[in-house]
Amino acid sequence: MKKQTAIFMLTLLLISLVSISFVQGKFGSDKQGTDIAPKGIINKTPKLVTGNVSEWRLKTTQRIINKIESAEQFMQGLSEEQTNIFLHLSRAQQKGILSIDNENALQAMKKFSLKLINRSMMFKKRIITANKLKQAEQNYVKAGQNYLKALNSYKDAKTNFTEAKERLRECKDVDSEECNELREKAQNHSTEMIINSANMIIEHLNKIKEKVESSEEMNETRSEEIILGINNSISELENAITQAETAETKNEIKEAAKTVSKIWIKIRNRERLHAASVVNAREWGIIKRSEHLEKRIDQTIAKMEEQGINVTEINEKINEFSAKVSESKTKYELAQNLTDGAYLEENKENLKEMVDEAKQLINESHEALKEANRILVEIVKDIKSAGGEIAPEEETEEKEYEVVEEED
Amino acid sequence: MMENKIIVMLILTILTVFFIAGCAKTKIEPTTPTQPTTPAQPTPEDTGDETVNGLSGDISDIEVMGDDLDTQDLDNLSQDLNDLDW
Repeated sequence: MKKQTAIFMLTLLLISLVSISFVQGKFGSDKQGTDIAPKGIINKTPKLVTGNVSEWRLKTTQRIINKIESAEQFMQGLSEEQTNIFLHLSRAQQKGILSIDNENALQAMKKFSLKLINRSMMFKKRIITANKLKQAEQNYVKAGQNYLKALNSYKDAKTNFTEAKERLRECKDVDSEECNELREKAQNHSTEMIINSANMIIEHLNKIKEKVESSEEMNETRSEEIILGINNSISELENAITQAETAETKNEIKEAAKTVSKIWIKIRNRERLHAASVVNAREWGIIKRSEHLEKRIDQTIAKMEEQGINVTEINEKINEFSAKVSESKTKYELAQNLTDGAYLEENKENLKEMVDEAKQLINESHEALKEANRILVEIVKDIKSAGGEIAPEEETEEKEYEVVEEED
Repeated sequence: MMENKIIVMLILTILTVFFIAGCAKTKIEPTTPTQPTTPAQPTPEDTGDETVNGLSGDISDIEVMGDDLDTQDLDNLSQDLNDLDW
């Protein structure tokens, strides 16, 4: 009897253990399978799911795919590698591809590839030491102050020159002491105007130079090219200043004025191009950080969903955010192509047109980024009020990839 | 004989309790992983805000820099210099 009781007890114990593990197993599979299964990315990419593609990527993509009828067919047409690439695209990019017909969408996917990126270089094109950054910042401030000083001196000199010139009208063919004094004043003030105008241009160029020196978002080659060009222009202007300082006659002064004017006309659009390049490089950095933030928010809402938090509205806002970042990126790329082309342009008129167009695109890119940022602030607010937290920057060993698009 | 039956009944009751408790415990489990994250909440919250604030700040900075590198003051320079005569 005792034996029977013991066996009975053991059987019951085993049954209870089996039931526990069954329930656990069921729960575990639910957790992994939430909204992934319907259109089958998980079936399509078994290696990816268990491999290096984070689950939140699958969830994000699945949300987009669920809303698009033809998506299933498209996904089935992708190789495993292409599916992996697709999962790394931003929401807006995924939507963009799914909005075209399957054949063209599959063709478009062939242009993309995954590139392993260095985490420390995610938002930079080069590394600049902290000391150099600090120095460049100080030099920029100093150049700004010097520019204002030259501007004020130029304005004063211009006012004084205009006044002397007005009074000189009455001195036509008059050789009085007063008239000679006025002539000397006009000459001195005109020299001051020339020197200060050249100094204004020099300090303006210095400001651009310092921004280039401290731009980690600009590549070394472009940076060196700009700095070399600026240094050459500064040398020419310094020579023009010497010419003005040593000019003794009215004609020599007028000649020095023309020299500065010619230099300015020659470099003006080139200088506008450099300034536009610095601004566009900064836009690039912000776009990159925004794209990265989109991924972190996707991770956040995947986690919130696991906790049973309704993320439908936040999800819609992330779509809007992604679309605005994508719009900004498109404009940035167009502007970048234009500025790259402008550096090779020799014709002044063409250069001016290209710079004008590039600046317009940079402004549009910036406006889209501002709008994206406004939506982002709302998203963060919504996440917090729903009890979520933005996923922190992961310090994992996991490799970071970015999708690169092969140019036509 | 009666004693044995009572023992068996008692054991059965205990095992049934374990069985039910086992199931119940598993159902609560999904909420368990959220518990360790609770004390660490301030860090992600700060990081999130900093990132967003940092982006907002940089977007404003670009506008300031764009204006600062604008050449409005220099627009009429050439004309002034070319007209320099008295």
